Amino acid sequence: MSELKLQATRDGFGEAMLQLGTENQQVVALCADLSDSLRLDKFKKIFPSRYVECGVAEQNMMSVGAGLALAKKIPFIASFAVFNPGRNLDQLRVATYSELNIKVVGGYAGFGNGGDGATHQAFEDLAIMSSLPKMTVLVPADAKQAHELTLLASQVEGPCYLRLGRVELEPLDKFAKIEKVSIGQAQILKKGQDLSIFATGLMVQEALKASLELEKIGMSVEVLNFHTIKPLDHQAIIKSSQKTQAVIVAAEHEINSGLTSLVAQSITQAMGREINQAIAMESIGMENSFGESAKNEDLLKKYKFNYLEIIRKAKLVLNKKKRINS
Amino acid sequence: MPADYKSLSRISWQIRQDILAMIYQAKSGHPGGSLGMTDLFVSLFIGKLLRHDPKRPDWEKRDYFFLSNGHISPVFYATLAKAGFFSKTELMTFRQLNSRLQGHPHFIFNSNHRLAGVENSSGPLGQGLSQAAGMAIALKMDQKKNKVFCLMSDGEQQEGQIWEAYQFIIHHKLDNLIGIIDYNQIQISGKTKDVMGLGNLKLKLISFGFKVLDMDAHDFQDIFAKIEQAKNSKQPTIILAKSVPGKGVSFMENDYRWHGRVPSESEYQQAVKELMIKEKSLV
Repeated sequence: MSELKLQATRDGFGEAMLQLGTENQQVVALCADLSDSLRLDKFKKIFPSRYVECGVAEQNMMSVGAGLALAKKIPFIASFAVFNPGRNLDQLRVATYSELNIKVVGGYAGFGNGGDGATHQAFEDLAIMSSLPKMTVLVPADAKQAHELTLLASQVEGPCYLRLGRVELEPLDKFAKIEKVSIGQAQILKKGQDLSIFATGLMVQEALKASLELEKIGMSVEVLNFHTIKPLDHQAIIKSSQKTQAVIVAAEHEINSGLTSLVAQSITQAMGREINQAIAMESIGMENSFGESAKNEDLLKKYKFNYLEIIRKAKLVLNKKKRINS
Repeated sequence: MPADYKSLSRISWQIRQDILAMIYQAKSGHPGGSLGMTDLFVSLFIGKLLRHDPKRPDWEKRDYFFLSNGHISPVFYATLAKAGFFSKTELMTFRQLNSRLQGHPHFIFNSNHRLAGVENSSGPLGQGLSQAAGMAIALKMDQKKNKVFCLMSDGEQQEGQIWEAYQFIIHHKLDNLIGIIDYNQIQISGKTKDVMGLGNLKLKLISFGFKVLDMDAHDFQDIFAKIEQAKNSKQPTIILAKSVPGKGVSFMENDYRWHGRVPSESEYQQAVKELMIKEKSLV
């Protein structure tokens, strides 16, 4: 079945760029010698005059992108997330200060291709991007969603970040019925009563896998896909956590920032307002560590970015909930 | 001095007084480079070396001016006000709460709060040339003839990004871009050669593939000649604009300590007196 083809989010992005190239003459792509890795090679071939090669110079690339946005182009500025925004944050910050219509594409986020090792593995990008005023932060959960979010990003008026991975994923459709995405609205992939799993990126399908296992032992699990980290869907967080009183946050990201801390903040600030009870919480992320070289599947297993870890945390969080309520 | 250069020169001495008034009132700002670049700004915006229309700041046939060393904003704002982009009364809001005249220029896309004449946000050194290159390549894509000017400082040449941008400009043959370097040889903590020597800047730029022009940034005839020459160049061009930091104020000239220092009351009075004498000598 063709819909079950394994694809990385970068593949969905590359396909969407071809569509945008045809549909919108203002769309241009910039890349720092990584057009193949970022899946911009076809765009480069078909729209050579709208592909701007920047060479291995990410700081210049970001500001060149700013200049193109000043000329009312819609630049997609792409490189590995460790460099973009990792290396060119100052340039990005000035462009964002101008509220320019730039689209920053951070590829190989998380463990990237695995083998490259920690220097090429971005676990900080969501923290960086969600700290910038006016920024929209998007994280697709599969290739199809990457395609949709790329198209939507081109319509956002203002700076936007698209986080892409290299791990090939099964389509989410395999696990649940998936509606079209809408920026700023978390997707409720599954409704449940006992536990909420708030996931982003590749952890979304791990959350769905975990939910299937947990249901086998009689638990009712709610799964939300946070494809938008900023603006964050506070109402979805509040509503779900209020209902289940037990939350697991799962992101292929540093654990003290990004989705984990944003959810914790959202819940804490709603206490005494919409939420009038304690909420038990656990999270999954990189814990005070850089990555290393290995195959992706080995890294995801060693650093516990999988459904098994979600199941383990589910037991912990449900115990916490029991203690709170006893 | 021909009559039109004489009137531009007189305007320069007036604008230098505005610059010091702004900095003195704000008790903050950068007089050195601002006073050094005044003749160049006046030539571009009042002498119309730059194709623009203050009444139509978004005129699509305009030349673009990107300031990269945003700390010399006082001369930029004072010249734009004099050229008629906005009211001169606004100058005294410089660096004050709720002002559009930020310490370093703030460009806001799609906003009515935008300051006419300002094309980019700047301040963190090294970014303006890349922004200008982005505009220049966009103009090439659209087959438009507008020119893009970018003013940088010489201290700014120490930023790595500048050299990334030079490489990009040459690689993409952006002959619609004209870079100008304020070659005043000082920076905040000393003479440029003592802080981080630039070596033979001219030879470096030539080896990158630029046409390089020397300019005396206080000689109007030379300013006009070199800008026209750069506009007609078929090769990306950089102008080394040799200037005197603190120009016109005896105790500020060529003294790096005035890069970002605010004059005391007596220093301010003395400076304005010197500038007024120079202005009146041209009447």
